[in-house]
Amino acid sequence: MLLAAAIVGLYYAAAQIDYVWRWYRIPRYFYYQEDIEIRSEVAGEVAAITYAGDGVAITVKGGDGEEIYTAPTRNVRVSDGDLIFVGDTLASYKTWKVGILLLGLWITIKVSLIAIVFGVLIGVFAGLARISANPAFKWSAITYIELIRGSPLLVQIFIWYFVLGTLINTLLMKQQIGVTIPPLWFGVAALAFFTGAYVAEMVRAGIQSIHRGQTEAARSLGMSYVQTMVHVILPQAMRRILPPLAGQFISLIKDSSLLGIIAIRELSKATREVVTTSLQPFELWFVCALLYLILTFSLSMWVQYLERRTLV
Amino acid sequence: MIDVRNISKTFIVPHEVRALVNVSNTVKAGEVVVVIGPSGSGKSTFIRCLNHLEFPDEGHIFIDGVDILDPKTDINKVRTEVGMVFQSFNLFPHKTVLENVTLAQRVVRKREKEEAHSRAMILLKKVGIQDKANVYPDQLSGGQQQRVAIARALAMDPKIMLFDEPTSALDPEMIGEVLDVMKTLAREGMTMVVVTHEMGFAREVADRVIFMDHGSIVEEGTPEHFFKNPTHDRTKLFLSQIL
Repeated sequence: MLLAAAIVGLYYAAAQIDYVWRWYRIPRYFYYQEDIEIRSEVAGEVAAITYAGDGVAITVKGGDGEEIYTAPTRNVRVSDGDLIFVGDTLASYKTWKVGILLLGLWITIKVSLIAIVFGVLIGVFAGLARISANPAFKWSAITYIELIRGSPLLVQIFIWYFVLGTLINTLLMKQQIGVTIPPLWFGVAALAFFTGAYVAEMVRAGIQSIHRGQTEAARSLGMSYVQTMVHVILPQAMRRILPPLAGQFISLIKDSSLLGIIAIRELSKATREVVTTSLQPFELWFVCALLYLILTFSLSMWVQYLERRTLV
Repeated sequence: MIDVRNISKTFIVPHEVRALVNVSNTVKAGEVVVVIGPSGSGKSTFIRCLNHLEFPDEGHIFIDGVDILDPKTDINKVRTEVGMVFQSFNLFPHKTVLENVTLAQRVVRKREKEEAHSRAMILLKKVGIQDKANVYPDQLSGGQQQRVAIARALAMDPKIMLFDEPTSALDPEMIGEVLDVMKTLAREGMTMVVVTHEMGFAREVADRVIFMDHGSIVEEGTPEHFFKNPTHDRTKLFLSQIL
């Protein structure tokens, strides 16, 4: 009811400022048809046009030999014996291309997934270090967690990209190694370390919530600390922290929208670019929000499924 | 087999308690020793020291001649030889009964899946629970869980079995089934140290009874001596309270 009222109100308000809704223009940013023209690279004469199935092969005879152009189409623009100059269109066809919004969505998914995997790994290790009896591990973990939790993600992304990124890539270039690390990976690192700090605290709480008897039982069977953790404690702890973990992953997907500022064209950046060219901000931002919602909602559905399945 | 020399243990947290005061004892191979005493007498701490779940402040413990308190000793290796059964079972709730019994065999003893599986089934049959192999522990009664826990410990083929109040968390009608399994083990010649309040079990199965109070061994002897002619006043008082 409220939602419907909000939508009606929004449309009414938009009408008041003469905003023209053009929803039909949106699909093209997901998937569109592109015209591809096949142009001759030599000057000469069309020697032969052979059709084979749906495709065509055009032979152009020039001063210094023949060139054969093929196209998956019957839309031929020349006929046998035509004079051809360099750059003339011989044939054209249409092809489907993935639009910028879909590309942005893909980058968002990719960045989030990689960051989730690394975030969990970092979180598990930091969480274990956090409850370690070894003071060096313990205090490193505490420092890491407090540093990350105490500063804004935006600042951390800047530090990763402009400070660490510049340092690492400049050093790589100085060492004459022919590769530099693209910004995407600094974005992933920022997100992974950010998430890792929160996951670490959850892992710590999860492990501490497992009864001490579990550790004692496993150790009394001769299992080492690591074996006990891997086979007995962590599986139970992870199951218990699944709900807060899912919340953290959802935050991570949303936080990935900040990566636009370091030239990673994820969903928000892509939307912003489309808005500047299409001047359809209302539709596009709603679509953008909807896409994020689809991602986060499917994630939380999946986690709910996992929870139900592992409920023993 | 077990040689305990002058161990002492003081807990500082939450408040200072002298749990063990200069305790010494020797358990021979094949012997069944029952440790009794009022709560807080240090009997649980004593048995937990035997496989290093507690670390005594002083003294030495030799298991099969190995000083288990020596930092150079591989305690995991010692523990595979010393099985332990807990008051609260401590089965792994995320694993089935069968997986509970095979896990340590696979991880510690590095047995093949089939071998661990068949060893587990033999032991589950021995404790009378083979038809529940594929259910999760929370679907079992307390007595059944404790029998699985015994099978899990036996799966490592230990030379010594420690029982820390194995029947104290059970409903009365389930105590018998667990004690029966323990009696079978004792008859088969397993070296056992049992902390329990089951005086019937002590009388019937024990080779020796140890009575502890305030962190020390007050009295020890054969069940006949212990239950018929206790010498120490503290023992007499305890027995009069529970019998």
